[in-house]
Amino acid sequence: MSWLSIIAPAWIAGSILALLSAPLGCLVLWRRMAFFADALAHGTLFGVGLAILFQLPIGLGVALVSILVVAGLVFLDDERLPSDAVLSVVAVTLLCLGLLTLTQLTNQQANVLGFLFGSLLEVDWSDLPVLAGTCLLGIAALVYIWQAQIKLATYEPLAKIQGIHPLKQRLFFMGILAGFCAIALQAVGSLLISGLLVLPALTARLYASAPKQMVIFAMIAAQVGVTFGVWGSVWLDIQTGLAIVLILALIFLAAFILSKITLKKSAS
Amino acid sequence: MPNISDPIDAKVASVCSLKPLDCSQAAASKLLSLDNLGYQIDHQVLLNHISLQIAQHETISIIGPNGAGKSTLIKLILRLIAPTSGQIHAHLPLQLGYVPQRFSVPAILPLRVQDLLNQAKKGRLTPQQNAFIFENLAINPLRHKQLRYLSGGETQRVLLARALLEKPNLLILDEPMQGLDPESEVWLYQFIDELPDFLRCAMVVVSHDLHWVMKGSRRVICLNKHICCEGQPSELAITPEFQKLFGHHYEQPYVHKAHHCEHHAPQETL
Repeated sequence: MSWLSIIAPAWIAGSILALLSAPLGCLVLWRRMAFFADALAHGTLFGVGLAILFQLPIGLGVALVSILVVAGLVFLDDERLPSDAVLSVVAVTLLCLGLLTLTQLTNQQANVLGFLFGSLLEVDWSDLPVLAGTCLLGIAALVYIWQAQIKLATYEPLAKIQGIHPLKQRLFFMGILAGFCAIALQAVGSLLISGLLVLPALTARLYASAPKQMVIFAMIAAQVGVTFGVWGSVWLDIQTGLAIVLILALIFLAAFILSKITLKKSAS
Repeated sequence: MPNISDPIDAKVASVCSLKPLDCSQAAASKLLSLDNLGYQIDHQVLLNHISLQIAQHETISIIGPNGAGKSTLIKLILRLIAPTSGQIHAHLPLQLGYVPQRFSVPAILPLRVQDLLNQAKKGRLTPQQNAFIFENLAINPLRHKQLRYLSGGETQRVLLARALLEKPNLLILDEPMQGLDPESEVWLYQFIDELPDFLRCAMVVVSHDLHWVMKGSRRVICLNKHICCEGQPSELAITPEFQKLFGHHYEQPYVHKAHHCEHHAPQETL
């Protein structure tokens, strides 16, 4: 049963990650920052490439690129350009730069798929304490800013009157998001981080009637996705990240269809 | 039923010849002073020369045409934007309350009434006082409803409750009657008129509704990028022209006409 010792740390790592991705994903949706999260996620690829190229720690590379993304967005602010389109440009440019760095400038061609779609099965027992500690830190940070973020999502003027600083809060939130992208890179890969963030929260919204409820439902959806994803990736021998996100997408679709059916039933 | 036709408009002009408020009267506990406030964006002047004193427990109505800068003035008082000229000075620590004109929660956020009320700063009132607000604004049956499914009147009550829970000493109401059915309007006037002692505060109400303006406030300010005129509604009510025009037609909205500001020569307009 040696494959169990491969799956176990991967499954635990994925579960820990799901604990953080659920509330974070809910906030990302409430703050209308899904496109930004996607741009940051693509940026991690470039961050990893730069880190390898200049022999820096991965975290530093990702942090640098995240700062670059925020600075770039501030620079590219123009009322004529819709923000989702600008973010799309940033995301796709970062993807190209990341792939370029990894395939041409370093010797990481073999690992590219892993960076793009995750290599969760390579997680070791020894990786878990750091991962758990980082996620715990992330959750603590979320708890700290939770009320302020929800108030900003509800109605910004009322939040400002209470003394909440929209800009400070936004930057802090972006920081947590960047940190999450860095640790989720190994699990689901750069291209699928936003799937892990957004899909459980969207699914949860279909059944939640209060913010806290939405977070709990998102945690459940994320956990189910990680569990079946990890087992499915071993069973079907496909990339773990792909499996997780596909399962999450299936869960979302099933939940959506179910909610429509129950709506029709209650209406008739 | 008199319609808003030219003969009436000509006489409405005289309505705007309110006597300016005697400054010495406002010596009673000032709360907020606006000193020659101005606001402009890209060389476009939205407000200028706004000087205004707000006393504690005073109710002021602000009327004026579209584009007059009423929203801008509200944002300046609420410190949501900073004036480009002039100063705002608070004589006492301000606890601001704000009931906005338009309010909607993004549909992705399943916020209930209870959740919005929990966002109010806690501890400013006793539990009994909180209960009083919930009772009188009929909030309790709404608690678990989604905010997006509330009617206009229900939303207004919830927003008012949220503002009052923080025990404001300056409450800003932006077009509180807009979108309300007549029953809710009557109910809202009554509630605001009969605020209990522990909720008494200064109020600034932006309104097009003359009924409210004449009945509810002690002071009326007519705004058109600057303060055209201000004064007591009682001074309006006694003019026979006003009574003939508005006697039983307070429901007609105040419609500002250019010649109401005839005291300025055309060249001086901004």
